[in-house]
Amino acid sequence: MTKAGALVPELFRNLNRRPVTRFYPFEKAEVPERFRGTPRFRSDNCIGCKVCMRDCPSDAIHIEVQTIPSTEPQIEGQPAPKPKKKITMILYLDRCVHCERCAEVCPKDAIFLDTEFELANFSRDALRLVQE
Amino acid sequence: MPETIHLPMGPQHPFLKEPAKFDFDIQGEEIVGARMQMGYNHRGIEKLCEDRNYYQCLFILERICGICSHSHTTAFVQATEKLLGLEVPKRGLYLRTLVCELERLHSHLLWLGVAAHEVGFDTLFMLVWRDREIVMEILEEISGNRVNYAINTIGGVRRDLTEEQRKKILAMLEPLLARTEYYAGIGTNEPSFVGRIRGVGRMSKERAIEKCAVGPFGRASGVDMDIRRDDPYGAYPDLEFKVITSDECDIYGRVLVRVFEIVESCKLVRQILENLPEGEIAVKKVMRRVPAGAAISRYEAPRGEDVHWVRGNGTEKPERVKVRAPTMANLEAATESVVGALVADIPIAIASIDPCFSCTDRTTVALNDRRRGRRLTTWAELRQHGIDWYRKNKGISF
Amino acid sequence: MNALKVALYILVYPGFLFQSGFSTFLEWLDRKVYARMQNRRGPMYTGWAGILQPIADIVKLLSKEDIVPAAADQRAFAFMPILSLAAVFTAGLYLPVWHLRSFNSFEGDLIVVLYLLTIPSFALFLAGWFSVSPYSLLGATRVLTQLFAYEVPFFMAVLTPAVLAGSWQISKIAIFPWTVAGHWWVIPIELIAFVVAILALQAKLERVPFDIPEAETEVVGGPLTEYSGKKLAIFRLQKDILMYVGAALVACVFLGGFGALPQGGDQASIGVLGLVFGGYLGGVAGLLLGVVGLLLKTTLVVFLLSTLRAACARIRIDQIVRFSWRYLAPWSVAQFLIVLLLKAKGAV
Repeated sequence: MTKAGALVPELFRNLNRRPVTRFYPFEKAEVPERFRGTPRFRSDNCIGCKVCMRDCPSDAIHIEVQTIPSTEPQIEGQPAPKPKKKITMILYLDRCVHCERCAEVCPKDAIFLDTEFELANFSRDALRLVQE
Repeated sequence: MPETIHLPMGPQHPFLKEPAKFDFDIQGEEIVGARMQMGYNHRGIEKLCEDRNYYQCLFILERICGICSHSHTTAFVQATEKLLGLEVPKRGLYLRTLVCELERLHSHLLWLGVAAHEVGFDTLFMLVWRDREIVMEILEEISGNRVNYAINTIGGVRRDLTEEQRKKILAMLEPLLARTEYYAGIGTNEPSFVGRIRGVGRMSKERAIEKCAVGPFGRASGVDMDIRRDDPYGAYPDLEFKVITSDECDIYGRVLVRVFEIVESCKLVRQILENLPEGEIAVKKVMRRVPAGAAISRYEAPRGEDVHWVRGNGTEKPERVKVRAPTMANLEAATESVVGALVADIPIAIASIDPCFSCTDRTTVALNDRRRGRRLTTWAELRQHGIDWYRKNKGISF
Repeated sequence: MNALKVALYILVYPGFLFQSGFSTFLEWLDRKVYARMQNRRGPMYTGWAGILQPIADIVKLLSKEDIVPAAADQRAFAFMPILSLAAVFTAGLYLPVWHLRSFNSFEGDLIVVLYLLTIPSFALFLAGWFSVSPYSLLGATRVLTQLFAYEVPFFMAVLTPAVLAGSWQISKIAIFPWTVAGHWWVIPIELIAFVVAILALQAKLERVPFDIPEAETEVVGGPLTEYSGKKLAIFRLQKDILMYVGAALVACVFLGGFGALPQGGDQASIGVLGLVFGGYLGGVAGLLLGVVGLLLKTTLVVFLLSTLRAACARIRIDQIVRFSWRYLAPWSVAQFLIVLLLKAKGAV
């Protein structure tokens, strides 16, 4: 049943064919629409519930809620102006596993994943993304 | 009687894709004894799971293995769903099974390439991997990523399949099936390749059952066992497929079983896509606290039966997760099948079970082996040795 | 022949510089063809289409740390790469790439070249033996076992055209198909011997499917496991030159060397290479055409070797011994008988 040189026709066909190797660093790979890249933060939507922090499998997200007292002067007879909340997301990219769990559990769609994938860096500090 | 030489292979050796240690006793080129030692890949994943809630465990367990990542999550999710008593919607089950079969496809194609590489057939290796890209693209289309699909969630799947995607994938299946059939022909006909795999690494049916061989390795020895049929899960009860077995009992049989499973998987994928039911993909409301109790889940991973055992204690975190990967079941049998063969057969014989040591390693044992005159070296001793060596040989003082 | 001329022959052409340059080109070609057959790109960035990649590899190896195992025989370990390089390099000097005759040609130089081409195998064996590592030892014994398998068929195959031409001189064998005494159709007659020689040459070069001594997945690097840095670079260069010398030898012996088209005429009128245009074309133009013709033939042989490398899996040591004694040796004997029969009939 064996056939000597069974692969030879394919080899000569390949000589005529364009190589399939991509020039990766020079030619960016195309990622699909659903690609899970870097988590991005929309602070306007965030209510500071910290569900993402609780469910992150690698402890890569840290949400900081700062209360800034309102600068507006208080008017007599009116309720005091609400203090502003400043919410910051600190993302440790060196720990992030890009599972999209944070975006999935977020009740207000404050986190989404973009399609950026070239995230390596020599410095650990550069991998600590502070997003406001 | 020629002298017996001890031939260590590993933990670093070109034939191993992951670290494991094999010790062979050879007489000339013939192997008279084989032992193996694992534990170089222990990452404490089971222990990590005890410290995380079920959703976090899902993503940790997905990272047990790069090839069969979906297998581990599915097995875990099934066990958890049993504990919770969840009824997963039909569409969710179908999508889960779709990824299962695609994963089997890419795993078997990958294996065929690796097996070809182990016997020096690099052209087949490159070409198989070139066409494996089709499967990878399908998986990317469905899940977004190539390796960790993150498609499973407790009570269903996370991403739906649009009608456009369904049609696109169906169109991509045509060339894939044609290519896999071509490689099936090459893998079973090319004389230099067949000469290397025929009659090598023999494992009789009786011995395979005794050694608890599972998956394609067992099926190639005539053990007719497939969890998809024997203990169906997911959408398999609704699907029609053949369980491929072979009575060759050697590596040739394992190649046969795998290449025909590839073809069978292609057909299964088409069947799933054509009969995809409408409806929800996941259960809407899932309890985060899992009731106390234990559940076991069996899953036919590309390499064989994958078993997950989960014990809940009424909290958000599992009390214990136990993983038994298929390589664990097959490794001992594979090591045994090498005895009596030639040194040249070692790589392909070990690779014929498609070993995955990161799936397998659950513990690390380090022993002072007095009998062989070996002892463990501590970090401080190793450092001192380095300093002494450089002072003596290079005249460098630290 | 003055000393300067000889020095030029040895150092520049057809000696060291030419051999190193052309053999690295052949290695590039081999890698490129192999890659394209696998639908890859192969070397890309060093020079045009990566043509300088083999040289870059060797230069890089030369700059690497040179480690000698403590248990190894230090002097023998260092001597083996030089010995094997010297042997193949000397063998290359006898090839008639320079002229119809090489400058040191004599009756019987074919035997000398075959002998010199055997030395690298022994050097490789000793290199493995002296480096005292289980992989090196296994590789070394495999080198010797394989030598016994391919050497006899290779000698028998090369013997056939020699008997046909009635000479042991490579240049005479090369020119034989283009002379009055011979006929161009002796080339297709020798087809079986040519196939045997190609297979045996592949085994000599230790390339897939016969790369058993240095099978990467089995014995790591075989005899060269412990070699690094400069010594490994010399072994690499030796391997390239061996490929060139072997391919050029096959091209000379089986494909008519300098010649290109069938042509009658007496020995003198052949001159250098009038053959291409049918008439006498002496001087520099004829010389250049001859050289280009021979190099093209060598390249063709390397292309065949690359195809063979791409189309097969590595076979086992017992399989190569069986294969060469069951098939290659009988084939070359059959070819030999055919040639003897033709000779006896007076056809050639």
